Amino acid sequence: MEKLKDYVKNIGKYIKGIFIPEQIIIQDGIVVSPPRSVAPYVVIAFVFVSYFAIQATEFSIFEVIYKLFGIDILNNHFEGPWRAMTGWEYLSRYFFPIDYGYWREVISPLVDTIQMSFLGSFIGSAIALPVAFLASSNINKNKFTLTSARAVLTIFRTIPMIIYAVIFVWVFGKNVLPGTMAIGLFTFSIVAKMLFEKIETIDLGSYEAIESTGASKGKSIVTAVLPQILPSFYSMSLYAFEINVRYAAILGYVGAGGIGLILQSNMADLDLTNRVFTMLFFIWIVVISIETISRFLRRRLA
Amino acid sequence: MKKNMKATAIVNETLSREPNHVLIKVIVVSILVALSYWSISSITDVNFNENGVRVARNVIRYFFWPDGTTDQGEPIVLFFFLTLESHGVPYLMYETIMIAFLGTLFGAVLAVPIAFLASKNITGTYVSGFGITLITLIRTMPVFVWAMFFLTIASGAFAGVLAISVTSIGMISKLFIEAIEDIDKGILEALDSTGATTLQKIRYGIIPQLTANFLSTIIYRFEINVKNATILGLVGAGGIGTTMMGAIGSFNFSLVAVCLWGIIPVVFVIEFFSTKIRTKITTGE
Repeated sequence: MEKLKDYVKNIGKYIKGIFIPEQIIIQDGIVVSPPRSVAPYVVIAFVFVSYFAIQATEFSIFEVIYKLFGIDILNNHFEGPWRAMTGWEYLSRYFFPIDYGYWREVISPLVDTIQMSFLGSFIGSAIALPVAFLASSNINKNKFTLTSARAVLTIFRTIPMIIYAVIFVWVFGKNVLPGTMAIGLFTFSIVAKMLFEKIETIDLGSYEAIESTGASKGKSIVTAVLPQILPSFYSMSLYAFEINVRYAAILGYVGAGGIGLILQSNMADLDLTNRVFTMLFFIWIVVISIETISRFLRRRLA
Repeated sequence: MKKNMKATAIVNETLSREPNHVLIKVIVVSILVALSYWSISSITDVNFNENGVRVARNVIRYFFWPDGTTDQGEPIVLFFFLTLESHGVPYLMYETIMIAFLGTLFGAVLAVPIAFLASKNITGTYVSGFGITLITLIRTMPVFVWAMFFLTIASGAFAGVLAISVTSIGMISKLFIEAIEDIDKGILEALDSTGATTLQKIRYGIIPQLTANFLSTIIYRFEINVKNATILGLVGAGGIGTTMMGAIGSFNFSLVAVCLWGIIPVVFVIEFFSTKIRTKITTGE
């Protein structure tokens, strides 16, 4: 009790202590002031931003309670549960009863998805290799090509893959090609970015030595730089392939081929939602196995 | 002349000692060629005609010069880009970033217990195996599917926040586990010897070891989440994607372009600062 009273009395001091740590006086009279921590300021900023975030996103736990249990706390008058069902009923429709027999129809689009992501990753990484040299400042001394290569990479990288897919569907119609091209473009931009960052950290001694013998720039790159970066390049391409398989599963949403096509139609149709689980299960198996293979290969490369 | 020949012999000898991977190379290349051939065979009924060329030309033209109009005849750049109203690109990007922020925050908070559950050095082989399976299950589900699930119990941007937080759990907890399994137990023993209580041991022995790693993971995930949040609108889960998908549906190229020009600088700036801050946290420079 005494301790609590003491605490309440000195609460101002404690709060001040959070922002400005108390000075410590060592035996021989030297005053040491510990460094100020940024953590409390960061926490305050977080709380502040969270407040705005909750407002902007209309975050409300009461809505979830209402949709799951039908209890309207605080009388917020939410819009009724979708199609007059409670959230539980709707959610459980995605899983039960599981349509096991559907797997036969899943295989072919799933194979399409794998083919799409393989070809896209392969072509994208192949194009990324030369462009990465163009975008690395220690090899390409030409300011203009360097800046333009980087600008192009940045723009390509920041546009979401699904937008490429939409545009290519407009141009090439609904088949596997738009998906492949979208994946290729995305792979190109991220592999090139990771690769030029890698090239900028390597040791250029051997490159300069070979260039000083009079070898052309291309030849010196092939003999001195390429062997240093190839293992990382393979590993990056495999990593991109790994991500792409997961992304490719959703590209079908906009008609770009693969399993997303049937995923979308089945999720939209209330009577077919029990197929979703079967599809997710197969996607899961494919993603896990490709991830395992890729991890194994990447560990061998490292 | 003689000297030269000697040098050549030395060079040849050195070269012959180089490891010979011809067989492996041949196998790998033939596998790749075979897979490519097999993959190309899946591309059928491509529908490319003059219409497609026109669309492609329009996309490129409007991307660099978005001067189209809305259905009511307002110029799109003025109407969507330079307004702070809730239909404008600045507000929509703000909403997108807020979805990502809140999603990352909840994801990070939820990931901490799951990560401790799945760390071998804390819970043992069996429980951690269960935790890891749970994480992989969460991770493989695309963010859209989660958003569609959550749209049944929440609406708009709120569903987006829930979807983002659940998908974040996967990666964040995976990286958390690595940090937790690397904890240096010597520090805890040293604290024990000074007579520290359990709470003090956690405060001074465990938290300082984890914060740097945790923070850089969370910042990295925030970067990814902003990118994810821009496309959540595809299924109606808020953010700039909703406007963009509406524009895509009505073939309004310049509105799509305006949205993209809203996304590109924001994502670039966030990526830039995220890399800067993460290097600072991990290397202290």
